[in-house]
Amino acid sequence: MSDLVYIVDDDEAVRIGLRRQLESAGYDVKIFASADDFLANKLEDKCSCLILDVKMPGLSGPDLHRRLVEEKSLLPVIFLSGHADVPGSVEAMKRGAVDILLKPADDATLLRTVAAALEKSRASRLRAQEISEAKERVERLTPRELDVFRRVIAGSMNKHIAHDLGIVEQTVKFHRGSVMTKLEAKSVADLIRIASIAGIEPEKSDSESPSAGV
Amino acid sequence: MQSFGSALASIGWANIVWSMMIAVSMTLAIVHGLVWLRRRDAWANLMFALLAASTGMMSVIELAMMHAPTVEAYGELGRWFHVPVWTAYLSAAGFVRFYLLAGRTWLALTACVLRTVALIINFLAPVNINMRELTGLDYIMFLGTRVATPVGVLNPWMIFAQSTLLLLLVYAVDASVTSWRQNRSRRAVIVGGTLSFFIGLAALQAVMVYATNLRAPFIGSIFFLGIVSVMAYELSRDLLRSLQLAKDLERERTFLDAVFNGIPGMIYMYSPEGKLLRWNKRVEIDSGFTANELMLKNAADWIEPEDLPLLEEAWGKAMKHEQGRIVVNMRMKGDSRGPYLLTGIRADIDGQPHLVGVGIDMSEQTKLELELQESRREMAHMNRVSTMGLLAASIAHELNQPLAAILSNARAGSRLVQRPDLDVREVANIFEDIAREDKRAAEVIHGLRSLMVKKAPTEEDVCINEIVESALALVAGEARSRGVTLEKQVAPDLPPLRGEAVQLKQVLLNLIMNAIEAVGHNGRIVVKSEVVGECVRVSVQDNGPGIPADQLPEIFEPFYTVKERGMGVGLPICRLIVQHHGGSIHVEKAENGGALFYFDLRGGLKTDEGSNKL
Repeated sequence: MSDLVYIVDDDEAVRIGLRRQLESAGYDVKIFASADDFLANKLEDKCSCLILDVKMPGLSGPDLHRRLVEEKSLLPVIFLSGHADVPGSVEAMKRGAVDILLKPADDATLLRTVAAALEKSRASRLRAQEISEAKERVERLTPRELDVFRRVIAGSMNKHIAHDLGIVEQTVKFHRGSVMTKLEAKSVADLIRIASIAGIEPEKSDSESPSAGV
Repeated sequence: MQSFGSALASIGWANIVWSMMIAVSMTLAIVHGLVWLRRRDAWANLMFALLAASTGMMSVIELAMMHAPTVEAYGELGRWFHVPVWTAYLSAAGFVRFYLLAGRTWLALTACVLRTVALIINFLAPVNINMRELTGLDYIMFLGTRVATPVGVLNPWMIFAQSTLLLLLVYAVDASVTSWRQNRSRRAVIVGGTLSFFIGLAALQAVMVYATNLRAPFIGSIFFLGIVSVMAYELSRDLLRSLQLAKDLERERTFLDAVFNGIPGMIYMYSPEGKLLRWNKRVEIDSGFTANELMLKNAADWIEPEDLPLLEEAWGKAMKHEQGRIVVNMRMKGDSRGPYLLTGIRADIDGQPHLVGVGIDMSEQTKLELELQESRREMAHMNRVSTMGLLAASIAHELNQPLAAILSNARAGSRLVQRPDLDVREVANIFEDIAREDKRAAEVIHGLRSLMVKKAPTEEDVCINEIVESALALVAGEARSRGVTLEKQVAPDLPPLRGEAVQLKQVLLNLIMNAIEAVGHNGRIVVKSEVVGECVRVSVQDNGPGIPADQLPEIFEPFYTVKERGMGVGLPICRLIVQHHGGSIHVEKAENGGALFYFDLRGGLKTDEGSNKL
């Protein structure tokens, strides 16, 4: 299954030319005449990127890009512009566009940029998968186990955790064991990695003496 | 001296005086008779000539009576004397009528009829109307001459004859009074007064001679000579006046000749057949032809054959008493040419419709006009270049689109042909698209170049719809980038126009660009072509804020602008171009509140005065 390139350009000739160019290079291509058409279409769950014209009637290229960023879309965007527009380009790059190419874009440059964008897509998709996995595991924890987990990754010792939570050290050890099992972690290092992927903040123990801090 | 005096005395003064009277009367009669022969409407002169001749004849008969040998001869002469008296009577009445241009016709006719009756009675009487019986002749000395006087019985009809004289007098006085009232007082006094005075005297003398035995000869002719002399003096005043008039005319003529030849323009007169009859010096100077060569010229010889219809039209206009005007290149001597404004009006000379006119050298004006055109063309070109500058970015975009498509297609094609499963139809499509996009790019470049190149104006058949297409193609990118929708509504089958396509496209571009600037994002512009009456109308309507009503009249004025960065030259140039095409450009508020610009074009280019093609 090939990677997918979306193309949004109001100029039919350009649109079809690009499709042929990329299809001949081995990509799947989907073309749209306007940003609205593109938004109306459901994105496929595969490694993909978007080649976006700048000036279009209706929603312009940068408008669409802004919207995608707001929606936290992972789709990498390559702008293809009819003419250079420095302020617009800076804006686009700041918002995370992969690159801005000038029409007519050189074949090698276009393919290289598309490849880079797809690579970015692949990486971000991979990362998104890791995150969702980590989050899924964290969700298995009970509230008490989450409390223990957040203190463990903060480097607190069992007795301090017990003191904080007002439970005996033995119970802490028990919770800690089930956290390791539920998160499929083999070491504290694994726990820290999963916490960072899932976005779990560590919680410092209140009773910990400053000298015992990490 | 003594011998000279005694010699004259032996002839007798009466003989000398009467002979002189005959000579004077006859001379005056001949002079004024000749005047009448030359000018048949000079009736007063004819009457005067008759009066003078009658007076001469009266003198002849009187002289004969003075020397009558027998009583019978005297009576016979006395009878014939009344014939010249009769003619004198009639001509005096006629003279009064024609010279004073007054008098009662019935009075004149009555007087003449009665005098004629008197003449008939005169011939029916035993002797004449004066004497019933003539018994003898008495000889007396009169002015040193021995003359005969009558002795006999008076004819009572003499009263009738004398009263007809009084009737003539009444007629003359009445005519004088009328004439006086008509503001010809001098003539009235002289003619009326003289006639009354001398006729009165003549009547009195005749009565005296016969009735009172005055023992004097008939001297009636003296009184008539008095009339003749005063009338001659009066008529000679006319002569003097015409002499003065001739002098005045001579002076006027000198002045007019100087004007005629000194005026910085050609003056000419043509016969109804178009032959050159008269001309001033300027014609010889400007044309280089001599008078002998000009005598052979026809109106059509001056102009090129293709201008003949123009000449004929102007000539026809002049013949209808309008001012005929043409501007043509005149053919001068030695095959040289010069632009002239030729005018002509009809002048009826001797009842024939001649053409009189003025020709003015237009080369200086033509030069100025050419310079003006040149600067206008320069301005229009600057405007086009600056319009192109505004459009440069979007035109680059317009060019890059097809170039991008071509490049993509070419790359795709070159990869596709290396595949084992070659899809020939797809490759054919690719080539087709490449060719189409190439053409699209070429059109943009062509449209651009036609606006940038400063070429000499050429009049050609233009299709308005093609101009609309071409202008829209150039601004399409600009409109898209500004989020403006362009809508085209062209009428099919528009009549072709004569004009300059580039200039008309420039007008349309200016109007569309203005509209794009006015409407802003999400604006909508409708470019329309249609036939309105005898014109082709092209309109550009936008849905922008419109132009305030108080600015509408000034919007086409140079250096007037409502734009922040506008120069105020675009619309004036549009107006110049449209006017030069014989059309008009207008602006008004559109129904949707936006601005509506439109220009109407007729058949072809306006050609000023025929030759100046702008």
